[in-house]
Amino acid sequence: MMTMVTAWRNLWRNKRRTSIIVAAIAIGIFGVQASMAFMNGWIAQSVENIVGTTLGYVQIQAQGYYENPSLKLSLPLDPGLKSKLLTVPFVSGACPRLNDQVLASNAERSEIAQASGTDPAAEPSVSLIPSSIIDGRWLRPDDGAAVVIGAEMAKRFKTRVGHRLVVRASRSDGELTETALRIVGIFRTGLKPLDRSMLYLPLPAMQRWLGLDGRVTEWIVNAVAPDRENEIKKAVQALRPGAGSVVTTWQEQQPILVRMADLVYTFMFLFNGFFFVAMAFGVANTMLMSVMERTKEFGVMLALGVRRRTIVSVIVLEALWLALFASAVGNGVSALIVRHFDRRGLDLSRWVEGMNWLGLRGILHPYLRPADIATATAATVLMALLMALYPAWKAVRLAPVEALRHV
Amino acid sequence: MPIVECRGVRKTYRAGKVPVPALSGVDLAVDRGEFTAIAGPSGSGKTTLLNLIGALDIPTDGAVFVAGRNLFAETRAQLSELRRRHLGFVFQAFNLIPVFSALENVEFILMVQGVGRAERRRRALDILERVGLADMMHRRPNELSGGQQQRVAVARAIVSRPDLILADEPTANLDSQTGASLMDLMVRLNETEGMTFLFSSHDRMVMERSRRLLLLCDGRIVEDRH
Repeated sequence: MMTMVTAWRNLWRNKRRTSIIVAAIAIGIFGVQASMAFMNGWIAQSVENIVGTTLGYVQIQAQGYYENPSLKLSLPLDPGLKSKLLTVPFVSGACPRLNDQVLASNAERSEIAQASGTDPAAEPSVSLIPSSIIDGRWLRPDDGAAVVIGAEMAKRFKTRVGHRLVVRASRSDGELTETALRIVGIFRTGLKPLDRSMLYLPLPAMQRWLGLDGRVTEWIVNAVAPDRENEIKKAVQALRPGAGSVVTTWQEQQPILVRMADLVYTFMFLFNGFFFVAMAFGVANTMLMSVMERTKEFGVMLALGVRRRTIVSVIVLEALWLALFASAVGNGVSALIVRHFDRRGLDLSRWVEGMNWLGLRGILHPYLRPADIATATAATVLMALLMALYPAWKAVRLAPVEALRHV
Repeated sequence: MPIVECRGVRKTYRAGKVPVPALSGVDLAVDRGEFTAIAGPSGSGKTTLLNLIGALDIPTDGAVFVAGRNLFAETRAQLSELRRRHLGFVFQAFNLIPVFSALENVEFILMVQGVGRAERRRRALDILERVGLADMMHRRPNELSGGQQQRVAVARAIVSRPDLILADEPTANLDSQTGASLMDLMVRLNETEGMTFLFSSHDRMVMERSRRLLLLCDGRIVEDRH
């Protein structure tokens, strides 16, 4: 206990020097955490862009549908499945969809688009499209031939709410079919591929049009605990959602996104490693100076019969205090600033134009994971302890009589 | 058995390639309860002799026995234990630990001896009272005068009741009045508690108060006056 107190007091002997090194470490930690929070926010947004729009956290599809999306691989719509899915822990929403590629046309132009027949009441629980309406409204369960399209598509088609859009598709039996839909709403997610090529219509209308009454191509399951997909997947499988169906997670369907996140975190790990090496030199310098200028004092301690390991403990504990204090300051400041920008949102709209492919929308919400704080603290402590070893080694090698002569 | 015994102790330092003899064959025995001063001009070897007796340095030749132990035959850890358990030190420059209060400086030595918290607090307070510093126990060294610091150093040296207290020019940095008062304190401790003191000094006041005076010149004891 006394060793801990001694080490803490020793740390503050030279207040200016300690304050400078604490500030240097804290700023370093802030740099690490700020970039980490940005990357966390970016990855979360990239995941949300896909998971929170078209993919969902967990999917139920017919065997083989993911590899070869086709109307031939549809599932019977089990009306009781939704309520069963909602009983699974951490599941916040479930929605059936019937998806198909269509040719959308109006007098202005024709383009390939992705049509999704969805349950208008359930879609808000699994995707952000219904809340991204900028004109008109989202679909209603009693809508007949209604459609919601993206803002980019509206622009390219020079169309607006109230106008008609003709869609053509192949039915499951190969017959070509077309239908005219009234645009009731326009959405904008900020993601150009979605805003340009997605269109949504009520599930019954889509089923009727494609001759697939009572059938869907997938169920989308949303979760409040984004890191429990596998747990949820198992629980969903246990519900036996239908013969011939498979349950997948978004990671299984989008492995490239997982690999991208891994790559980003590996890069961050290396980058932050360099930060800590640079900080280590500062700590080493401080520790060495602090020990060297106390040579005589260590001589006195040795003369009084203080064990060498006690002297090592004091030096190592000083480094530990320094690391913990600087970590608390650095992580505390980082957490406060990051939380501010998480709540407010970091407006990147001026810079992200043209960076849409990176998964960035206009507003980014940076955040820190508890693991980020723990890792930075552990790295700071480890660095400081390593840097204390040499001064401690120098101190224990002192001959008492030489040390006492030291001025 | 004497508490200190030196037999043919020599110590030679090296200044570059030139050997500089500091002690040239010292024979000495100090008994328990003595109050002895080693006097002599600068460079006569006083501090060197004290360092050797204090197990802080090793002789080039000869043997030093403290509390019956041959210092030459002991390991570094054993010497450290000897200093911790059997010796007390008072330095010329006080050498208190600056981040500790007076009380903590005194307690520190008991802590390294493994004395329990309550016991060491009680003993440290008691000693500080005896050296007249009870009301300044929470002050740090930089808040104490030189005389007060040296009193704390004396308290630190005696609190564990060592067999021998080594004081290297304890009054050198004090004015004469403060020095005299400090010496009186040590005389009293010697007389009432039977503590053994061995000083190095060229201060007349120290020599006058000591009951035995060893005169050192060119690394040899030239006079042993009782």
